[in-house]
Amino acid sequence: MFYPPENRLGTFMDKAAFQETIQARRKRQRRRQALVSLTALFILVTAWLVGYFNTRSGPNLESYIAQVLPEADRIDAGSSGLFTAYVTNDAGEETIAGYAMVGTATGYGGPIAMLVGTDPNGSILAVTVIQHAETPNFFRQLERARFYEQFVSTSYGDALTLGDDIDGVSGATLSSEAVAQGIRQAVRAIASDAIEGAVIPPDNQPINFGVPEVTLLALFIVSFFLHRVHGRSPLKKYGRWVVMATGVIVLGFVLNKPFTLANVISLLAGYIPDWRNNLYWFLLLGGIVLVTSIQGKNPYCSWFCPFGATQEFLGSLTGAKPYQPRQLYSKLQWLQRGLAFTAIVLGLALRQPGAASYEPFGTLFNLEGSWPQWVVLVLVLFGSLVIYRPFCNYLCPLDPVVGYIGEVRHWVKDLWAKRKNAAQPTSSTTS
Amino acid sequence: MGKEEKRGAADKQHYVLIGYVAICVMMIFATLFLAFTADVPTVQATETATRTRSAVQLTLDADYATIAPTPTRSGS
Repeated sequence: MFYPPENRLGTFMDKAAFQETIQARRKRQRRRQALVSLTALFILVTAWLVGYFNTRSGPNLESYIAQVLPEADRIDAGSSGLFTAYVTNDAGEETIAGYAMVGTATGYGGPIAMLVGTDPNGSILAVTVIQHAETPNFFRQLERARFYEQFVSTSYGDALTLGDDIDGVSGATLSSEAVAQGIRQAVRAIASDAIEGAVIPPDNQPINFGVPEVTLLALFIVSFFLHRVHGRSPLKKYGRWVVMATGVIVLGFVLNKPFTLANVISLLAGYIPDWRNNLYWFLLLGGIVLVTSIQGKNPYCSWFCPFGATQEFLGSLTGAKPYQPRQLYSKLQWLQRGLAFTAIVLGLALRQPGAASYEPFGTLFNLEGSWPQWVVLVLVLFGSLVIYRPFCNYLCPLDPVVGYIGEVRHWVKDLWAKRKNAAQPTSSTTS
Repeated sequence: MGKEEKRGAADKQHYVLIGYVAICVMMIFATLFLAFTADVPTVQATETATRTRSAVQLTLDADYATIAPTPTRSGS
């Protein structure tokens, strides 16, 4: 039975007028959405291009070369990127004092460029970071842990690999890996270009497949199958709690390797790390995209995101419920999307994915963060006692990003269904 | 509880939520500002006891500003 609604003047509308109003409203909405999407795409592409052209040229090496080859009287730049340092003795004769070269590798937030200075035999005299895009608070950990000093006096013939002759810094593993890779690359390139008869070990880095990778795969598989269990079975309920607890303990406190906005921006900027050292990165991103595309639901956020699970555990203590008043929540969701979008645009334009990642994940799991991140963390943890997952619902930048994969999935599915429907009448008439 | 009172309580909850989110958003902008303006000094590790010399002479014909870092072997 159709009940005609009242219009603004308080009089009743007939059915046709009502449907016309609805259609006109939908049309306006679609037009508005298309305009917003196009504007957003234009801004993203502009930010990408700005970042690309700003970082095309490398850093000015002049000041750094003197730091890694401090004894040199004259430094000559070769065309292959090799710097040769000379010293002059009292008789005025020049001898080679050492070499320097830049090596780069992709870290957590993007490329890390290392300048390495060696003596004439290829033994490392000094290393210095000349460019990076890591999260500042995390990158400082390397210096505090005296990570760089491990490389001094090592040579091109050494493994220079984390877990072998170099100790990584817990909580900044990706950065440690990239620094080691950059130094290894530079010192071996020096040996290859300048040292006659140098025997350079093959670059057969082992594939990192250990506890983090196995845990991540297990979490994806278990959450995928438990999600398919229908109804409110105890298996699903308790299984989810086990998955969430594993996420908090292993991905959060032990490994501190949650999925962050920096991962997304790095991918958009084209900063892909070496797969052998960072298999975890590929499994995490690939797993989220794959499972969300198949299942239509993002497994990471609702099941094993360590920060989301922490909020849910806290909320379960007090019985916190979701608070999503219809109209207000819709506006807050736009605010959440706006925050994520702003951070992505800044991260791309300035090519600093690590700095754009504003989530307080590392603040909780590694006790590292700026003071505003500590304030957000405290507000979120206390808020979790009252509202169900406040950070996930109102602030997390990853929810809109991963939600976008779901949108694309819906769009493809709708398109497929439309094509199928369009094809059906033709086949029925011909048969 | 009357209809008016219920509405008043709901409005109050709305304002508390708006205030809560507003503070968090301000802190997030402060986080972004601090992160993007952070001056992380380049760090270095050097072999100790290097002798002091006069200022290094860089060859004049080399354009040091344009020497970009070499690409990684992994293709990234």
